[in-house]
Amino acid sequence: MHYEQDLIQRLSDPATREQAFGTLVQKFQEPLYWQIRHMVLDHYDTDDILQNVFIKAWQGLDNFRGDSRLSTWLYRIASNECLNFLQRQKQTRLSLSLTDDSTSDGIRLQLESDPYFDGDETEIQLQQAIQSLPPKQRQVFNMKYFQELRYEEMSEILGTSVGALKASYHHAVNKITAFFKQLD
Amino acid sequence: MPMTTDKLHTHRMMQTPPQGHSPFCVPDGYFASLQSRVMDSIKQTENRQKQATQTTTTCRTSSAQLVPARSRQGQRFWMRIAAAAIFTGIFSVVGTTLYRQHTDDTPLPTDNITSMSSITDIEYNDDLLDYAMLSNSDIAYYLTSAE
Repeated sequence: MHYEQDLIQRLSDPATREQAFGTLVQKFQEPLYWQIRHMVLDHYDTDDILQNVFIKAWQGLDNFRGDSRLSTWLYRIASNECLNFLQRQKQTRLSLSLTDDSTSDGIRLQLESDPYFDGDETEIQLQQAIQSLPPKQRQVFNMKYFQELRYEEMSEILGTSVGALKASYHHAVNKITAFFKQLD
Repeated sequence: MPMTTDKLHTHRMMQTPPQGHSPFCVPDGYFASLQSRVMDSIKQTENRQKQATQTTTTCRTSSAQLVPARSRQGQRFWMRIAAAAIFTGIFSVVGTTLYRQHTDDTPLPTDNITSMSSITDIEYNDDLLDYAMLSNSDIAYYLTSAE
């Protein structure tokens, strides 16, 4: 906590802001990357979104008052950027009448052809199941299952109550379990 | 049909957080170079924003004076009014000209116009103007006196 307060102080000082921001990037790049990657799957899309997240964080530094933790603030930006990206992607596909890659077969094709995915058949099926969830529910599941965030942290990031998050995660688990059962 | 070992393992994974292996990977050296790329992106974004601001400032200073936004809106409004007035005027002139040409060609009806028998002798335009300048009481006077 002391470390974070020191970082916030250095970020608020124009003289040390740039160096402190570099430290911020170093510290949070991996957790943010994986948060985004589990949502959008593709490495290059993740890279674009991650850069946008840090650009927005840089531009929003003056508005960051330290009410929340830096991680909460950054995760929140990343969460919004992911949802916006997925929404734009869906609208682009609809407007161009492209094949919907978000279907189960589309996910399989995408992962099988992705050089940065080396999961086995079960992991492909797991990703198919996860991608079938609505975006916000998928986000809750990923945060809990892959990032192992506490519900209280997720509540701060997503602005949703702990009870609603627990219910959302429970429903997500049920849907994914049902997905596997219907494959048998 | 019983679940395969793999699927059972995954099903068990649903109950406990995953450990270790993630099926996703990143290119070699990705995270090592990310910080410098992010800072470069930020600088590029700021430069683009500065250029956009400078371009706007150049456009403004090249004109005689700064025109506030509201004044510009007011000017556009009056320009629209002026354009509408011009078009209305043009249509009126054209329409009147065509109308006069048409009535010049057609003979004036002379039935039941006793007091105005001299109309055919005088120019129609003058009569029209005279008629237009008459008040209702004047017209009534002329009509009743003609009887």
